[in-house]
Amino acid sequence: MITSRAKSIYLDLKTSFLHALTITLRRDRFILMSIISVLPVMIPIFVALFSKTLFRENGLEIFVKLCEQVYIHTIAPLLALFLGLIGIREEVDSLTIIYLLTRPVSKFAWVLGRFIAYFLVSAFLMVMGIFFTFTSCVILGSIHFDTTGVSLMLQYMGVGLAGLIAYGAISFSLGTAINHPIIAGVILFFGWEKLANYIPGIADFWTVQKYLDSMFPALATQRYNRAVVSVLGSFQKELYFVSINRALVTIFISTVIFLALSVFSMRYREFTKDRVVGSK
Amino acid sequence: MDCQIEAVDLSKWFGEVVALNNVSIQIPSGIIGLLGPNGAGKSTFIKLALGLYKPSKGKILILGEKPRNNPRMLSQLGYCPEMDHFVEEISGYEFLYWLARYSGFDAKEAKRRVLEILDKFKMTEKMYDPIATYSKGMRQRIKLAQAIMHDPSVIFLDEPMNGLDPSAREELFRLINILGSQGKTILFSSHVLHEVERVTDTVILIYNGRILAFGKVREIRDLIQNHPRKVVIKTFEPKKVYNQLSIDPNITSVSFDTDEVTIHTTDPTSTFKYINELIIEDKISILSYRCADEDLQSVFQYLISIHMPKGL
Repeated sequence: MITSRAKSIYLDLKTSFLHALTITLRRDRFILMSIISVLPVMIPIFVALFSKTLFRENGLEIFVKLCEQVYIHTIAPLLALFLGLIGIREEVDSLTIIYLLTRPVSKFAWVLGRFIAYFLVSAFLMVMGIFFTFTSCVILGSIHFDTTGVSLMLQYMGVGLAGLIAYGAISFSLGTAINHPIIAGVILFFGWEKLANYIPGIADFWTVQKYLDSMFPALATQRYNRAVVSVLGSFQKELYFVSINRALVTIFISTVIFLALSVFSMRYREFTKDRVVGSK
Repeated sequence: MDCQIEAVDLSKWFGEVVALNNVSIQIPSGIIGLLGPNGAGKSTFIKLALGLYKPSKGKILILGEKPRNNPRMLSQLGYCPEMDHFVEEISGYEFLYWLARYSGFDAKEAKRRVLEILDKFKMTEKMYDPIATYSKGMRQRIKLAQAIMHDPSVIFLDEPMNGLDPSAREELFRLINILGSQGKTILFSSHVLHEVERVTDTVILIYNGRILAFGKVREIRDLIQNHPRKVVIKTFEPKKVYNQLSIDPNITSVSFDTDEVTIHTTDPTSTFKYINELIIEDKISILSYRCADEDLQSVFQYLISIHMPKGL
């Protein structure tokens, strides 16, 4: 009985994954995100073109900034919004979800299958983007293609993937649980996340960025060079320092919670409304 | 009675609006028409039966089980929604293929079933075209195909004739009859009585979220024949027409305006015959006449007015 249930869930998961993958790869937004993901590669090229010395002297710092500010702080949440949230929302808004809800498919498997498909596609874009950026920095700048350089690249790839998982899970729960998820997602990822990290105190504990930042390689000190940094804020941030292990555990737990919320919404939310002329 | 669908004190409300009000009914196998005007609660009832909605009160059982979040039950249900919900860029084949996969079939079996059903619905030629390019009738056929391709035992068709041309309608009537003869339970919703009549003689009348009646079509027809009807006559001589019609014993009230006369008759057939005779005998001259309330809405209001909450 348990084996047959597990097999059924596995088959549902596989179907959901393959379905989501086929649909996502044909979407215009996938092409858009592919372009956005490789755009940062152009920055080292431009810097090298316009300044003969800047890039040679600060190549490493430019690569680190591109990874942290562009890929992890900006492109990761964008990928989650475009490939995760909008994918789910498309099904809900077009009401094609009712075909699915009247099929004998496990909601857990459906959510997980879609999530895996989203993660693989966005991870591919993120990894490719960071790799090409690293390669162009190696060719043009002061980074060397050695163990240290590759290790740095891999660490940023790892943090980027962690970001995709966390932002993706939040996007999935927004897409399934609320009515205007895109607005909410933009406010959350590009409003609250940025704002909370400038507020002294513990507000940033309620952001994904806090935990991603704590996984950054140690040499990337420029991330503390914010426009607004108070002595109190810096002190508190150091006081409430999050270790890599703790950050990983937090991201893992929050991902599970948000995906569980998605499954819960899929099971218990009503996704369709009738034209009712009923009496009061 | 072999009860396939059972509702017990079933209610559904959205905020303050009551969509379905305390419905209790036992629906047997066979083809059953769910008849009611737009907004009567037909779709809400179907969606509750499919588990798309959670009842606000009461319960609904399909084949003895609650349908909501019940994969075993859902594998036995088929649903053709009223509205067009599609991912427009994908082809009809692909749409059906993924739904077949979600129904639990492996790739090979899903493909076989899809090709078979597309052939049955004469969609093979266009099966790889994007759904966005399909006509209304083709979209309707695709919706119907997905509802039956997994061979469900209970099928819900929500206004399936909408948008179909006459030949496609005939084809669908034939298909529903075939499915019915295979022992499947089909709940067929419509707001048009003669559509329902083509496939079944058993109907559920639903209005304002309540089941008004559950019985044979001919009994509904009798009610339609018997209930007082409002007729509007266009004429240049309203006073003359008024005088002539006032003497018809079936006419309960007559009023006239500058270019029209409005009557209420208890026997529309006799009244129409009488009007025709007056025209032939050149006693009156009229431009046109029409029934102002010859639709289900008026029948439902009539049923409510004669206090018939259940049973015919």
